Amino acid sequence: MPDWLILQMSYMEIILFGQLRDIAGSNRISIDAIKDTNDLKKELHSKYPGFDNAKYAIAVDKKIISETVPLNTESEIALLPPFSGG
Amino acid sequence: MNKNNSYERYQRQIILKEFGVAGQQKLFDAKVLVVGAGGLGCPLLQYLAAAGVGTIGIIDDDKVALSNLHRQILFSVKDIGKAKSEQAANYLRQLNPEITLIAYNQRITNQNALELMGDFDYVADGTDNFATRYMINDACELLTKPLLYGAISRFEGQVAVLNCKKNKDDESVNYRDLFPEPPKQNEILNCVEAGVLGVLPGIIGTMMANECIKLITGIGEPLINTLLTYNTLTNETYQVSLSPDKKNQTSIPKDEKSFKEMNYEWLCTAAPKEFEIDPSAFNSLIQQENIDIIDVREFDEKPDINDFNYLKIPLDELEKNSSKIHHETVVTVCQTGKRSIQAVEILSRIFKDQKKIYSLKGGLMQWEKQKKDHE
Repeated sequence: MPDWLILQMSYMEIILFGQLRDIAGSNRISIDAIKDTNDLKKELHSKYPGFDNAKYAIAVDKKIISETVPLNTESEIALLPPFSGG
Repeated sequence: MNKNNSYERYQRQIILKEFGVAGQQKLFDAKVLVVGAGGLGCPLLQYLAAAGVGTIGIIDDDKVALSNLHRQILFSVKDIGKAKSEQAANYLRQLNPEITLIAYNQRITNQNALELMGDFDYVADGTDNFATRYMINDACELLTKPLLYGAISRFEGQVAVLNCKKNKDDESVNYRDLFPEPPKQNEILNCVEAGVLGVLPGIIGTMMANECIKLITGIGEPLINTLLTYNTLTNETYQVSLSPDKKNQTSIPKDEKSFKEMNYEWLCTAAPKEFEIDPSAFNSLIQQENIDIIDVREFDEKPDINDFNYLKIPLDELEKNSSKIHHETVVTVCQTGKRSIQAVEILSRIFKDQKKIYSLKGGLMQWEKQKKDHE
């Protein structure tokens, strides 16, 4: 099977926290496999327009990232919004 | 420490071999400032005082209300209408007369924060709004003080130890490394709007106390450079590690003067519709990294700008040069603030809601004037 076909068939799971769960309607969402965190943002924003105005940190394999990092189907992705309550 | 009484009071923790008399002494010598005597602050204060932290500062300008009592467990019905900081201190003096409690019945702001925090070794953030959280973070960074961070939203809480090094050669991490850009207050709901179950701040505030005690006494593994999320509905925890983000270091004021000039309220409260910003808000914005400032005057117009980086795109060339604008936040400037309003209209048409576009009110003339008045 060619690589591109394997890629097409695979998907990635994303763990959501806080209000992002309300936007997506779930604690976890699946998206088609994408190559990096930059594409992840684009994909999320097109799938869930509510993400446009949401602030969140991206964790890949339990590390908060600040630069674009490559992703694969094994990556554990989590999106964490800031909380203000005290 | 009064040896006989104290030993009996703290006996159950002193007999822990990791803790011991040495741990108790470290607690007694420590000075912790708790900002906010609310849902997080109450349990945090209660455990710090009970454990014997020698000096505890409590700063809050709020008064006790009936709707606080389901989660702010230091207060009772007779406290309603009274100052939280003072009532909390009174309660804790009853609990532990051996320690020093200092109540500050005032709001912490960037005008008093550095002075107040200066007297303490650790700062704990139990506040309820982003403007204060970013301000406290920046103050701790300027003073190189460890910051115990806790925050809640509905059924979830976050805890972390920020601005603190595990080893001498490590790099410390601050709140802006986690969330570089302050959210606007209306983007994220607070407890008043979103609701909160009383035990959540109880758990998260207690976790903050635990981290604080571990940090002071040097036992266990405090959440240094680590963010823990806890969910009360599922009992799930999730830990992620944090690392410094070089891009964001410029967002933090570089010295006391620029810290005091920051307009934190504005950073977190401006509604997108208010596209005209005044010189003080502009000063706060130009300290941010992720921003494009565009001078829409003609190429030969004076005065030249020397105080900040900017793009030069005259108004009538703006449309065809819009691809030069990369950042999410854009501020247009001109001589008097009239052409920059037109620039906002042009850019809003091009970028729609993708960017936040502002115009410097009164233009560079007003800004220069204000700058001179301050000097």
